[in-house]
Amino acid sequence: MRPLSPHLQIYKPELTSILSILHRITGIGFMFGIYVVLWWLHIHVMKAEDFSFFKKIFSSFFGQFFLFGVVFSVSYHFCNGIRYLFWALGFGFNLKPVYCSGYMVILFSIILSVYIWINV
Amino acid sequence: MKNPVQHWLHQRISAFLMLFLIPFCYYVFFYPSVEQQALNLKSLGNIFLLFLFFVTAIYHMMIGLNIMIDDYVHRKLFNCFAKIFVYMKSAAALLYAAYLIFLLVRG
Repeated sequence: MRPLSPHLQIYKPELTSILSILHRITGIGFMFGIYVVLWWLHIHVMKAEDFSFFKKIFSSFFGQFFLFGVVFSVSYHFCNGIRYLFWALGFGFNLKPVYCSGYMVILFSIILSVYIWINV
Repeated sequence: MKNPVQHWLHQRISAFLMLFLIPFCYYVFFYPSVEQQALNLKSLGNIFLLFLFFVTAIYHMMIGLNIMIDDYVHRKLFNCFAKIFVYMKSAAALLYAAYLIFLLVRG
């Protein structure tokens, strides 16, 4: 395999690059969210097992950790996705709006995750 | 999808649709109690929008994963297998969602 020039070891992480890679990582988390929703629909339609098994899995420590990870992934990906949609329309490309919107995405995704976690 | 502009457009259109479908799904299917969820699943309009959510989300996921594979997997054979896996996984999820929705509508 050919050698690569150093990149991650050289460049200082910036808010923009961190939020960008987090958007990809939370996209994977969102993928698990789709499967959780599919399982939920399966339980409702098939009635093969009642919700106690679903609740048993997700009330364990790992289940709660996984579920919160999925909730945060969906919230973050949703909020940052709105930011990307504004960029697609040509708004918010200057340095100050990019950083400002980036901090707002972090704040709103935390608030949204906590709100969903409390209410579900 | 070989055309990057087409990919960009499809990704944005599916994201825009999910801007409304995700809050809808949350408030109709996850926020209420289990009994209310079962009641909400009896409405044809709700079922149609839930199906639309699955189609949009799975498509958005599929094209997003394909771009990630192109960015990180450079060996042609692994790239090909990874994409086949993504297509099969997406098709299986969509078909199963369609089957469950069909059972729901049939009653």
